[in-house]
Amino acid sequence: MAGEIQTLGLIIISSVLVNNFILIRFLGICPFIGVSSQVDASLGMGLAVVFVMTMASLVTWIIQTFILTPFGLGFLQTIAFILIVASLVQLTEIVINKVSPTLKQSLGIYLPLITTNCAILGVAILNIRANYTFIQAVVNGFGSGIGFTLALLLMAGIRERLDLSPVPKALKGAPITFITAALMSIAFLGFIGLIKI
Amino acid sequence: MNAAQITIVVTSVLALAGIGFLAGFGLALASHIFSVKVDPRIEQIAESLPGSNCGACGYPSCFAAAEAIVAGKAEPNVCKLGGEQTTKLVCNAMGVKEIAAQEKDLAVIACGAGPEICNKRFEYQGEKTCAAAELSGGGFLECSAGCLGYGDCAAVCPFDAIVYEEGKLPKIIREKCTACGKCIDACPRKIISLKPAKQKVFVLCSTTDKGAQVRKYCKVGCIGCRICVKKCPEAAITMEGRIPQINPDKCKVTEVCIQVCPTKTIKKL
Repeated sequence: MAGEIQTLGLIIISSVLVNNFILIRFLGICPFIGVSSQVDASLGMGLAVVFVMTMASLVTWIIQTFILTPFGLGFLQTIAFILIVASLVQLTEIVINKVSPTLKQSLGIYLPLITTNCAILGVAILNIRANYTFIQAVVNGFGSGIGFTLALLLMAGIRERLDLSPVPKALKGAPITFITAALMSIAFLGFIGLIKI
Repeated sequence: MNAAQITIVVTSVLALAGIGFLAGFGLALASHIFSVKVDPRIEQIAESLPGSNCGACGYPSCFAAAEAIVAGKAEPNVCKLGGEQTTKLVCNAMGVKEIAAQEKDLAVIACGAGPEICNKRFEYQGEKTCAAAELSGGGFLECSAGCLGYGDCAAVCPFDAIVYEEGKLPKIIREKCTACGKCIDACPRKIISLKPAKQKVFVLCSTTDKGAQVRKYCKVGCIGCRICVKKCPEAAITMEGRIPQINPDKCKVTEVCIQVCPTKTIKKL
């Protein structure tokens, strides 16, 4: 039991820091650049991604284990997972619309775009490849979402300050954002070798 | 095809259809539980508004304006940009009697000279924006109400309705102008204003200087001679302060004022 909990802890550290989806695996870059101009909006986006990633890990693990593998339908993995992710995003949108219309407006087009965010499909497929158990898969999904939120929040904080800094004209806007993202990625490379699973 | 292949096809179709059915059922259930009651009129009105989110009505977006109309906080003719047709559609959607549309306005730059014609007090070499030029000793032109010609108005115009070449007087394309008022805020000299769209003839000068002074630095500035006031057959022009004002309700565009104006300050746009 203690070993199990230790493994889960390691999975969380791994997914949040060591294998951060945005900065190390380079998945889900679109919202990372698109929604990272304000801290408030990026926090909302991050929480939506945490929810979708956790739920997607949960549902896709069940689908893979109880439907795809027993019937030998492994080749349907991508399309089945996309179906699940799209439905979950739709669900999130419906819930957010009810709970906080303001958040929905500030997220704008990026909320439905979580569907095509490869980080979600990525976490689902990586769960299966790593042969995680049910709990491990859900924890990995949750941790990956937290890692995504962390990167998004750090970026938003930096960009809010960048707006007030004297950036050379040629680098204003997207270029300086990309350079910042690259430097953050290099910084996160320092976590490699922190743990071994 | 042998039996094994058929089994694979059938199971994959069944599996995907099953997952799809479950997801669809779940979503239908969720949208029922989390349904938000929205007044259908909001959507309907938002569709009939222009959708350019110009903000001239005082609401941040056309959708916000639609919500305000339905909530009774705004009149059905709040959208100036849409004109008569939009007002009619909105009135129909609200089920109220049709009311007249608000008169449409257009922005006009009340300067006919710009830095090309106006005499300069000194050579300005700073940041190329009107705001910065105005801060440097009150502008480099001898005229305190002349266009500085760095196009701050063109830069903020969300509709590309202002054509601008550096160092020249910007030109407002009247067909594209929506009277959102962004250029009015951007102009440091406050020489842009909204005038009714039906007004065609304008006195293109905003100076507060005396006629003799204006003559020295600007060939097209108003010298306050009052000839236009006297000659207008419709008596549509009155002096207000230093500059004649044209009353758009009376003006019949006889163009007499344009012909008699000695400095050619009055122009038809």
